[in-house]
Amino acid sequence: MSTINVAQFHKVFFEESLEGLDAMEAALLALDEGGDAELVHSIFRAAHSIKGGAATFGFPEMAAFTHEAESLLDQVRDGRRAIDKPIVELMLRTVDCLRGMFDRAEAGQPLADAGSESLKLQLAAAVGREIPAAATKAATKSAAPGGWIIQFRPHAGMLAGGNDPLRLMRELAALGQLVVEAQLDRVPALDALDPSECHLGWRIELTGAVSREAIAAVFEWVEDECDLSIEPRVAAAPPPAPVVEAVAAPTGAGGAAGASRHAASSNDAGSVRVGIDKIDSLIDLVGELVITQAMLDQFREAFDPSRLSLLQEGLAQLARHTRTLQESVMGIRMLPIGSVFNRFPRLVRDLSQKLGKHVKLDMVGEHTELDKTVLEKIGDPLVHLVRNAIDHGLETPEKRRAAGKNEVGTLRLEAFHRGGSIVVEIVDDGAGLNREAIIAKALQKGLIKSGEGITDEAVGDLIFQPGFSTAAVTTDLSGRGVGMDVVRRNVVDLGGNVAIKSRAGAGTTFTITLPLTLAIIDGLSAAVGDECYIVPLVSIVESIQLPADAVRSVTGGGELFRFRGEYLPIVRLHQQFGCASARQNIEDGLLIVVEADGGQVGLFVDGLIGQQQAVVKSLEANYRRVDGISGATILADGSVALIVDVAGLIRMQSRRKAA
Amino acid sequence: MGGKSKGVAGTSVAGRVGMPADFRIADVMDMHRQLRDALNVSPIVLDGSTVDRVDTAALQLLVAFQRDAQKRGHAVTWAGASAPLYDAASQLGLAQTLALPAKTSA
Amino acid sequence: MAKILAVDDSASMRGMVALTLRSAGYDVSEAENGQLALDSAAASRFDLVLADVNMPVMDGISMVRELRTRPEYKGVPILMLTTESNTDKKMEGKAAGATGWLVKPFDPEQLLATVRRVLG
Repeated sequence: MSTINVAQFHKVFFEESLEGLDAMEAALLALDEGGDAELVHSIFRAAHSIKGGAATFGFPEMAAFTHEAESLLDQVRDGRRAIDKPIVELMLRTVDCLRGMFDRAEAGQPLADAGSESLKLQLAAAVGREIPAAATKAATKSAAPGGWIIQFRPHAGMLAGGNDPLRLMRELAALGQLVVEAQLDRVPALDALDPSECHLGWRIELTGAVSREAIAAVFEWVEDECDLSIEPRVAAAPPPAPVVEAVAAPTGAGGAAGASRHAASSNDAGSVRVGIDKIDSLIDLVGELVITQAMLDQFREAFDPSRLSLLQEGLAQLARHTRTLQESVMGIRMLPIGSVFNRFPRLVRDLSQKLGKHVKLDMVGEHTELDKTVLEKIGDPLVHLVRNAIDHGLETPEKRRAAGKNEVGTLRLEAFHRGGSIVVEIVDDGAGLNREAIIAKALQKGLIKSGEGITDEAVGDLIFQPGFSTAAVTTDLSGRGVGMDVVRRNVVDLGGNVAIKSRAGAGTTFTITLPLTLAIIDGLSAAVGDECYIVPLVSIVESIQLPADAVRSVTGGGELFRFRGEYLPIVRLHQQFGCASARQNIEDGLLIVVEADGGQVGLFVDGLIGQQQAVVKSLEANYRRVDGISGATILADGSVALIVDVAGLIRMQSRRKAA
Repeated sequence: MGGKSKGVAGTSVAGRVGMPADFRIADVMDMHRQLRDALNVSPIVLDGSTVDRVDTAALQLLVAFQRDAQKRGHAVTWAGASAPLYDAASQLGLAQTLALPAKTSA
Repeated sequence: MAKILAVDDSASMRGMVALTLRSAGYDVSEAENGQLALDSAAASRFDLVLADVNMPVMDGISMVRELRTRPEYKGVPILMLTTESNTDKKMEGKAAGATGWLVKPFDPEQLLATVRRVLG
């Protein structure tokens, strides 16, 4: 293309185009007096040829300009838009403008000028489209008197692509005064961090007489590589000197205008990419709901008992659609766990090389989907467990050979569904927990009083105890170490559990059980005195009624009952939560046998009310943290019920037992 | 590739981590390794006094390091921070997070 | 002074770019297609690469993709010189790893402003 001098064709191109413009003008004038479809076609053809020629012969500005006119004519041509006086007027000005461009082309001057840029924008606006930021710099200066609030969250790959946020920040600083607040909440642990990926975000306040276009131009190259919002700053007062704390919260930031840094980071709600098919199915569902609603609407005016079955059918339909809608909406938040697993091949390779161990990593169930929030927070605990498995679980090749095992250790990460939960297992075929060392350490730390008769389960549980391990411990202990209590706490915060199983010489399995979603749980509501408590269905084993003589009292005030061959402690919820007028006698109430963290207890309640779905509201956010309670929900009658934190209660129980 | 030859400033001895003159994304892996190792040491002294060029990737690395070290209760102090390092951190709103000292010349 | 690699199969375009940048004091190397550019980029480390899209032997987009696999070119600005007024080529270049673009035709001032912008 570029070996030929295209300039030799310029003259011909100019001539035919000017002829085309003449024809276009004539047709537009004819149209103004009420013309026909053929006129519209001829106008379109003229514009189309000019656009094609301009692009071919090296007049991209003319091509871009004509492209907008052509788009508008295209809409007229296929009937999406009626031709009216303003459009004819706009097209006539387009003809004049193009003539001017050809004049300048012949004179060798730049083709575009302020007039053509402005007209191009008007054409684009008529088409109903915004021109990409670069071209719009000159036009519609939309300045905000209070300045701007820019939320900027680069995608992970932006740094490697050569767009350094530092450079963008410097360009912004050239526009006006900046107050920059970095958001660090998504920066992974150092071990898990790929330093060439970006996990930072920024909230930037820009004051000064700056147009939105000028800001957008700074971000022009990274539009597709970041989440970006540019909002006018809502200034109650004229922009003050940059005092971060005093600035009003952005629009709609729910009442917490006074909260400074905290509010800013929680404003950053993140985003989810959603497939069109998922949205389409939602729209279908909403359509169904509308139909059902119309059907039920018939009963508003008058209800004839003979039509009861129709009403029942309508209500059943409504229930069905609501459930499906709920599932679909939840589905939008679900993402495959593979995005978290992806980081492990590299981590395992680096770590095993460093430690001189041979490790084969198996990953199963990468497609298992998890709630986005859970997914974001499960990464760190998993990294911890994987590091631990390689660091302390798997043996060196020499030791493995000596033990008659394959020199190559296996580490398996597996995710799968079980009931209403997602289970993630980290399995190694290493040496297993070092029972003696752990007991010795726990004795030394005062976590237990004696190592006698302690079950393997209890030994496993010790490593999760706060204070069991510190960084210093790991080096002199061949067991597991660093911060397992943090791992457990993180998982529990997500409404999940961690359990450990270990066999000496054969390996260790960590099992993380996570809820599918944090937003809604299936629960059983139980009465305790005048109160109602929700027990998550996933943790319920069975409900039983006990005769009074089935309960054994133990020293220290605890109560036990026999269940499937084992003695389990009883937790009286009315005592635990201080409920008045609850039933006191075991035989008058009911025991709900619940399980979490591999432990079981019986919750004593007055009776069951029924099964229901509970929308979880954070108690911490609205009140404060309460031991044994994971959240609250609102019942159908508008009253509030608390949701029992089964894992927490079981932990409290075992701590009481150990004390 | 280069990078390796600047190693004198970039080695960690007894809890001291020095940063290379060109501390940017293309050469950031080596510092990542050093800082990961440094997580097992306390107290740690960071020396950024010879940093000439720095980018977001490098600063993010320091942020992750500082936060993780803090989580482990380790003490992190700065032996020095060059003007380019200080300016870049300020521009990204990270100077306080990194607890950078006032500028020191190289 | 920063080292810049100018890649374009058109000698006139390449000449214009090189002349403009050299007169501003930059150290400029030239390559006439993507393959030759990759060879140059392996021999010395550039601070900025300016590359045409449509070139024989290896086009600019394949060149960017290949260059980004080299660790020493992680984060190095690579700008596409594109004549395309539609966004497809820009986006294709971005997806391959380009930093940004400069739309042809550009005048020396625009070129210099953009180069200064990315080199800081």
